[in-house]
Amino acid sequence: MKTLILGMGNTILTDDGVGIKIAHQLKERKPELEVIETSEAGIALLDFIVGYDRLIIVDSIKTEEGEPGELYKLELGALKPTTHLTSLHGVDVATAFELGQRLGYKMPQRVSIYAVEIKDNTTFGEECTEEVGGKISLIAEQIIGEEKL
Amino acid sequence: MKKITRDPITRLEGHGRIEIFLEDEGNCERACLQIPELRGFEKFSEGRAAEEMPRITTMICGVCPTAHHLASTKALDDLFKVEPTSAAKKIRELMYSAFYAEDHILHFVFLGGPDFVVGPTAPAAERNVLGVIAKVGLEVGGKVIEMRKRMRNVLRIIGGKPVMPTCGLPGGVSKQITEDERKTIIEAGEYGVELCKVALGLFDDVVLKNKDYVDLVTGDIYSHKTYYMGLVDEKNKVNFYDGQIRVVDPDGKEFAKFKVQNYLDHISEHVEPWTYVRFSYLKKVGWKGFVDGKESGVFRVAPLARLNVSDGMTTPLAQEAYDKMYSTLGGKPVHSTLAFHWARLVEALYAAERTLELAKDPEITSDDIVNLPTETPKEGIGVVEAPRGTLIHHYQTDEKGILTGVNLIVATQNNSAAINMSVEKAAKALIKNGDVPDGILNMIEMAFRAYDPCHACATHSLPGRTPLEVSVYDANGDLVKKLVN
Repeated sequence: MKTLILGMGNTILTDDGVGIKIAHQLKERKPELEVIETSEAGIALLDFIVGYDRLIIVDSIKTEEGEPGELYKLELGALKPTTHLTSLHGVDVATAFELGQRLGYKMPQRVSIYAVEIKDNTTFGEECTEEVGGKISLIAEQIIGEEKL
Repeated sequence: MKKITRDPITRLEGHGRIEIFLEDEGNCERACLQIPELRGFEKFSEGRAAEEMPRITTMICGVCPTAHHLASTKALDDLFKVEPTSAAKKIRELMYSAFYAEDHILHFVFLGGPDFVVGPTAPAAERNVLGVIAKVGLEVGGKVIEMRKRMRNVLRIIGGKPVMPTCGLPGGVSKQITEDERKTIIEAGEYGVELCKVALGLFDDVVLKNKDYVDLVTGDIYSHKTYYMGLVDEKNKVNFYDGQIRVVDPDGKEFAKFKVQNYLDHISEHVEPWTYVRFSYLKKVGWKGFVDGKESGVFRVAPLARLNVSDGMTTPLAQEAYDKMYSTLGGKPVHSTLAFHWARLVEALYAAERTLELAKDPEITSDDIVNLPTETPKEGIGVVEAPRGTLIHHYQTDEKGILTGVNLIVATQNNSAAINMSVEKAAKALIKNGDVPDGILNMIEMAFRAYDPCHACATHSLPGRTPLEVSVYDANGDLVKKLVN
């Protein structure tokens, strides 16, 4: 099964880059894995994921009352827009996926999405906050275990 | 690991917020848009070598990396007082034209399209990119994706990567274009021109032949009589990459024309206590609040503004489209915010034509691609027209080129005052006597989506969109309604 690990985020916006940093660690621990790190989103996802059987996305999320460093495993369906409005700027992950399917692309059949609760993604900085950065190794291990990589 | 117990998507933070305040009769008195802003870029940059900036600034914005790369590279030209070679300027502009064509078409089809192609009053579930594809057909949808792929290949050829280019150097670019690559770029340009013609035809069929849409575009609800700003060439034609900054007044008369190095004489920033966003305004007119008219320094940038400040386009098909737009909408300047969508298509066609024109230029494969800097750096300012408006990078360094000061005037900041005005005007028109219809959210979103605003778009967290929340308060300040997308 052709598997892709996609680490997403922006590494100069403090915790925003946590998905990329985790993906980096996954590659270090399991060099045989196919890992792509990207700061792109929306339609651009199709550039990376078409042709794979299995996709594992690692990204960040910011929620009310969330505990920074907490890891969620989401289903693709959970990311569907709640009232279907277009976004300010881009196309969200779920819509990009559905677009690919409608256009007849070979989309991954198995998709896991991991989202790390973050604290700060609006301050420029190359390091994660302590609460988030301190969990990166642990989260990488958790994903390896959960996905049996 | 936390398996979902309570869907985190339902409690996302980082909302864009629109706050609407009603007066005693229940009509909208005031509305404001609050969007999370990024902080600390100046501090982040200081102490770094200025040459790093064209690579770093591509990460500021999720959708305009090429614009930041080139504004930054041009600031370095100015910093090191080195004029790029003629071929280098053309290569940069070629890359930029390909970027523009792709960016504008994608915006129209995927972001602006739902409002027009599917319709502002269509069921919410259909008013998205999938609804657009359903309406225009998979074939057109597939062609858009194909054009995107080809234009991004051009960016990869010239810029080194399909996004976040790395080619800009003070005085030029790092890599020449081969004859084989030229052929690929010409094919992409031809494909782009054809697709842009299809998109304009679609706009013609779907929007211009529908009286309701035309009324919506030309109606007062989305109109502001403001100043406009944009780059023009020596003949006052639209130019995305270079030229002087021209400002016209609400009657379309030239108000100012200046080199970017003098931008501080013309552009000031206003701050409000309720937002981190800085509101650009014309210094020589002054800040008079969130109002339009000749006495107010509020100006607008981006597609419609660029067309309003110019005397036309340099490419034939885009000039035809330009003439058609203005003759249909009653001459220059056009003040309707929704006409930004139309102007964006005119520009997309220009960008595709310009890609083709530059790719065919004999000099484009020249190996004379860089002039080496020899001056000691001190201060440099660069400008381009980002798809979302005039973008200025201003750097100060020590004699070793280490940054001591950074100031960026980003495109959306120039439109921020107008965006707020548009939101408020839409709210005032749509809310009457305390009746806040549910459909108001999209009608208000339409007001600012036309600007394609770029608020904190470099952040990336799931689900990959900016949630928007509208809160309506009565005259006592009590929350009476909340709408969330």
